[in-house]
Amino acid sequence: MKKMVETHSHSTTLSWEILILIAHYLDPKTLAIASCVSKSWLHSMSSDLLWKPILTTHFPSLSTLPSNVSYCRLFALGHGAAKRRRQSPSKPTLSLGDLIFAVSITSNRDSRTIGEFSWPVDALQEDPPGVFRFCIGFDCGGGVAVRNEGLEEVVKVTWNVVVKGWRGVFTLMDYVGKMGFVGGGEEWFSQELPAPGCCSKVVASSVVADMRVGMCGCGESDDGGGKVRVGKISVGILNVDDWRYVGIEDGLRYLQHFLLT
Amino acid sequence: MAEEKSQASSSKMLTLKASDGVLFEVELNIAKEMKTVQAYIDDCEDIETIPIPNVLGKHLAIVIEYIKKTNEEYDAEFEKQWNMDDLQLLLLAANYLNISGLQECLCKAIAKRIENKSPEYVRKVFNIENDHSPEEEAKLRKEYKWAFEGVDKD
Repeated sequence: MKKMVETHSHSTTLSWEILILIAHYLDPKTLAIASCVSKSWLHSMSSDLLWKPILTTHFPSLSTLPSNVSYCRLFALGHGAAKRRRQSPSKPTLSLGDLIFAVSITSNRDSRTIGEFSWPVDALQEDPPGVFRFCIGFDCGGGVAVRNEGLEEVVKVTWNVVVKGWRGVFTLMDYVGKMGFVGGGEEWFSQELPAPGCCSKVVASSVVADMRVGMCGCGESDDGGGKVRVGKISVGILNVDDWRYVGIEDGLRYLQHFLLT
Repeated sequence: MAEEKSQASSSKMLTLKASDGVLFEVELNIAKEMKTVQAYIDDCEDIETIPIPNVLGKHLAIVIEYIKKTNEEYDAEFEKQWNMDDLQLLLLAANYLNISGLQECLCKAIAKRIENKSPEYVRKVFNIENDHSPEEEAKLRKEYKWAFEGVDKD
């Protein structure tokens, strides 16, 4: 026995017995990769005998599935399903700095403007912080003075969000309803929001657009009645399952669905 | 007398002859760990030299040392000394000689070395030729896509 044995040692072809022995010690990932090595390895490494115990260990609930696919395939399916279950939502690509809110309150009768505002969202105050609800207060210069304190009027309220550069628009609220004009009072408007993307309302949407308009009195009118103006506005996205405003990221993710292609 | 005899049999020496002619004198109880050798002895009790045609002297020496020294600590360090070629040849030897402990130790070691490696790496290690067509290979890689995530770069 001469050098011939030595040089052949590099081209040792493992006998199939040995290969299967090693196969029993491989983790599923390595076993799967090994299946790609060659045709004969594919045959050995994808054997049900090897994969059945692996499936039973990792996905016991699948090992009882009646199926005519290989255990290897079942494992791959289980692996994919587990991964998708674990997946947390990705970070929103929109940021508050990309957005502008535009609110308009007009009289439904004569389209007279009661209030018209637009703000870059990152200039607004989160109230409370971390939550998709924004407040803005006006000095007695905001909005349009309305005479006739005490009047109730039907108004049209719209709340739009615009992506800076006019890259997208979404209407959060387009609502006709009664509004009272009392100094110190607060009017509340709420409208169902559509379910985003993939699922129907039943599965996905329990959110509404929520707006509060606070009135403040400012001085007396000529005929002795009080004047009221819009003193503050807050807008937000509210979850009606638990009556909490959604978080900033959730709000952004929601809007992203409708604003970006 | 019985004591003497048992003493004699426990210290009985056996000669193992490797494929390249190298001779190893081992105690009977060591040789018996190799079930193949055990079978040989069972068949012909008086034998003194047993040929081991499949194993080189170099590897037989390693195997014998393993049997003498094996314990948890030794096993943990054992595989680190050998390259992949030697590991494979040792596994072939352990398999032929039917030494289950060594076989397991070597299987685990080889498995560990190809863990999370690419098919190219594995082919190189075991000197396998890729007989898949490019289409077949692409199809396989797609099917096993989940396994390729995070694979070590070659």
